[in-house]
Amino acid sequence: MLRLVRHLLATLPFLLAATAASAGDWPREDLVLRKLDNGLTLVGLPRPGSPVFCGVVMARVGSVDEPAGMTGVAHMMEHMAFKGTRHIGVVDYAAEEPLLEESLSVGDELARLESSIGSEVRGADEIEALRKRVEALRERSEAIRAKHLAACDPGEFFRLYGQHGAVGLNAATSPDFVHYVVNLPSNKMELWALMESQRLSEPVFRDFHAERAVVAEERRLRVDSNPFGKCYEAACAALFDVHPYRNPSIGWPSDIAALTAEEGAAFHARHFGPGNLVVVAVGGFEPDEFLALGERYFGRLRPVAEGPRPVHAIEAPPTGERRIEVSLPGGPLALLAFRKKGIPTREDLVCDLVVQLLAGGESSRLSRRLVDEERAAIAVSGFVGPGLRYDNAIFFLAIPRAPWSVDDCVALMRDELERLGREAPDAAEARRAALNVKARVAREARGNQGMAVMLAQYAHLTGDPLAPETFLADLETVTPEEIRDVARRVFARENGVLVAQNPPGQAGGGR
Amino acid sequence: MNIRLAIRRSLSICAAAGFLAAPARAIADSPPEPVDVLPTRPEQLQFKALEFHPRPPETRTLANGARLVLVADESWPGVVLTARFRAGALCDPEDLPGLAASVAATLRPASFASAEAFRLYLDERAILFTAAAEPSSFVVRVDAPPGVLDDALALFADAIARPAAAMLDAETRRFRWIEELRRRDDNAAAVADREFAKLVLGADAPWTREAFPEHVAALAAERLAAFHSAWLRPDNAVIGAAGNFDAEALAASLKERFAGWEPGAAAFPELQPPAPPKRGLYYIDRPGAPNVEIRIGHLGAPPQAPDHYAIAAINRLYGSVDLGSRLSRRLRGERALTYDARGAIGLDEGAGIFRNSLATRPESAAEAVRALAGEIRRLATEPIPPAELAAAQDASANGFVFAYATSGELMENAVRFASRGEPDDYLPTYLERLLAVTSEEATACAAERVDPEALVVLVVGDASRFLDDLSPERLGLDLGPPLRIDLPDFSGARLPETDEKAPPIDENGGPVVSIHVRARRP
Repeated sequence: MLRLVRHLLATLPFLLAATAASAGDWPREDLVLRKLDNGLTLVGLPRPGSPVFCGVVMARVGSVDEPAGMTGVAHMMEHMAFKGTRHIGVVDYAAEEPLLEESLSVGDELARLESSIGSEVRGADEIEALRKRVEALRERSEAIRAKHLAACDPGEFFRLYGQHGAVGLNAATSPDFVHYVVNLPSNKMELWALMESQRLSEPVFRDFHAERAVVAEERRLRVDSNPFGKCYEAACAALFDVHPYRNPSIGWPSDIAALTAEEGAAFHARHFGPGNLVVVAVGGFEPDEFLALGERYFGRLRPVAEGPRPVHAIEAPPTGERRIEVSLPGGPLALLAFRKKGIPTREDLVCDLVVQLLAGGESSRLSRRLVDEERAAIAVSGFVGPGLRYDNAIFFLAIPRAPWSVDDCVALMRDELERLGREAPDAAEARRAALNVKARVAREARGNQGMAVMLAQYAHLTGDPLAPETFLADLETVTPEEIRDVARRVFARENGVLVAQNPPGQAGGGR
Repeated sequence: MNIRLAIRRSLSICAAAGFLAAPARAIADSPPEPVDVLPTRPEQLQFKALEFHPRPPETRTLANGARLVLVADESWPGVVLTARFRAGALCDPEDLPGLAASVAATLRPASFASAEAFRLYLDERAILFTAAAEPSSFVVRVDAPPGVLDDALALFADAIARPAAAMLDAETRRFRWIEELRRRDDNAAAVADREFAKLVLGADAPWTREAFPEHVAALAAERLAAFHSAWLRPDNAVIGAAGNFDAEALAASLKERFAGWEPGAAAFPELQPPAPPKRGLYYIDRPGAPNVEIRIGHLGAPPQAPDHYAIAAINRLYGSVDLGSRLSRRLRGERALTYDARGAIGLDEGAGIFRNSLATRPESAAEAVRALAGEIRRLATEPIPPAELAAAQDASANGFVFAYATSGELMENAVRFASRGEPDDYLPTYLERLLAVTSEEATACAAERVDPEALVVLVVGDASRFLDDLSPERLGLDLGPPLRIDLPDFSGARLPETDEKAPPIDENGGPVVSIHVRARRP
């Protein structure tokens, strides 16, 4: 079951970052920070003696920035960034370009036509005519795609990085950010600067519509076939009425199917400009080398005329607890979630301790109560989500142990949550929680990649890449009474969402 | 200059100088760009050779036979301690599969009165303690922040040499384990992996033996203690440490803390190679599942295979996680059939399986099987192009430095290879052997190891949405009619003992039932 729990937790976005970072030696004096004329921020943290480095490019864009009907477009941009540029993935760009344009335009036309069928009431004759057009366009699209693929090499971007020794080449999209990450031998920093700056400045959306099908597969794998993925998606949709945190970063299925390359290009132009980017390197390199390469390659990105617009969506006060039933093949799960304030409020800081104290490991309160004492669950966990840029939520998950039901576990969890809201923890327990939050973040920051992602995130969120140092120091100032008061406020019944997963045919509910 | 020569030359220079180096990739023969023009292609860049001098680990052997691997590193915050034993799930007794995993789940030092007291002690110091049973290794690991080295060493040594054998822990393990069994089929990919391994290696093979509810019920404290006593012995152990410490002082401390820990480990079981499986087409029905999981393959190569290096090179170019690998390019990139396609001829920790996997939508199941089988046939019958092999070898050569990138990785690798019985120069000379593989050798290896006529195919998903498509015509393969595999239903499994703290079991909650897997025609 540990395997399942790990699998579940692996799907959570930015779990660690949400708990702020650690004490100890935050090497502020070694940090290199420069804002380029085009607005891009460079952050470097040299670790002398290391033969490798991690490079992260993070854009302040995620599913919160997606227009209605286009959920998943930020994630599509993450995928398209591996399809090459005007110089990489190319056989002969002049010969390819007309095929590329035709392929994208026919694919877009097909997407628009397909998405217009079945959503609005129409007459049977009209639908039949539309279907015939779809069929014809599909044939045309497949023919032009084949010609286009024969004239380019969309796998070259990935292959080149691999041949140069890249490890962990990847990217991720959360509600807040899209980031690209790669680890390379430290003599390959210029390669990284070339590849990353070029995919931002001269992206080519090769095979956009087939990649959309790959994303649909990803969604089926990670959400639709995964009870936890489905519960988490349902919880976010119920927590937020108006804020786009209610949308999944991978997108709703019908939105993914209807995305066009034209919409993608417009979204990219608005959100991936230099003023919206932080570029970070952590590992073995000279600071001057990093800054010179950063200036030379990323300095060429042109500022965009119209940048992102902040999300203006204020939730009304909650009016009552919401309960959602999920029924997928798989054992029962109990997910409780509560809305809370975000960075940089005191409530957010205190919630880092609340999560640790209630569900941070096997000696946490929920684990002791549900797993050890009552044997009602085999594992519990807690985390903050779905993002960090706006007010967010705190989640607790329990995996019930038969014959205990989801509702049995929920009752026990509520009992512990409400107890914390009535009685302040003793000082030793609060201290222990702070110590373990700090240690956890320090472990994450030990690796080049963990540190690079954290620096990029906090550079975006607060302007100070090493802001975790301050947050972690502030943990020391949290009093047990503050923990109690925040718990009482956040864990109010009307503020909560409960998602109950039970296998088909087995209704939820208590015994 | 071609790529291969560039790599070979750099390696020989580095080897002579005693360095580890990730060599520069070849520079193209094209004329250099004017200095004021930004390069647009990697071939226009020049990379200086990477000089790196990893400090070799200090190795010692204690009087009781335990081998030590110490990597002192002042820049590392805290200390990581690892003990790796030549023991694991393959050492489970026949009557109690899952015993090694149970020892890992319950291991703690005798110096703590209860598991709860132990956890509290760890939390008060922010120390992480883990134990895990792999197929042929048992690993205990402690990760300690700065300032608590003595505490960490004490609990590490005590858990290994002086473990608790409390009844309560066995009971707690039983209660969690039975729920794990009830949920063992929650994840379709895990079901496909497990059942495919059973089809290829045999359901009762040491690598695939499963725990059933009766095994959970049979777990007792004395069984946990017996496993520990048989296998967690110094003559079976390699102990590593990396981090901020003085190596001399640490070695002395380990010697003192492990004094009285006696050798006498049981011999690792000698396993007979599995018999080749019968080719066939199988499916498992999961009504309502939105995806199908597909596994195709047959017996593969074990890690100690003589053609290990050719296989490692093929694995990389054929079906690695790299999106540039053949399976990813063709099945994901070109055909958009899946999010993730993988394949390998073996070298997994176990008997070795030639395993190809992907997940796709139900209506694409037949197309995906056909496409995978086509790639398998191509691998077995067509020469591996030198350029494709060279690209895979480049990737390994240039990324090899990551095996040494931190003192933690350096130590963990050294411990792993020493525990496996590899010679001291295994890692330093690994790359040379990998790069020596020629395209002819790789082609011959694939032809010998891969048999497109002997495939086992397993499809897991909602059969009502794919079964009619699994015809020989659609698949391009004639494996006979699909055979259904029915899985035992453990969802109602109960422990026979009374659990006073649990809510009352309803009348339908019967005694423990065990139903063995069977295959039958639809």
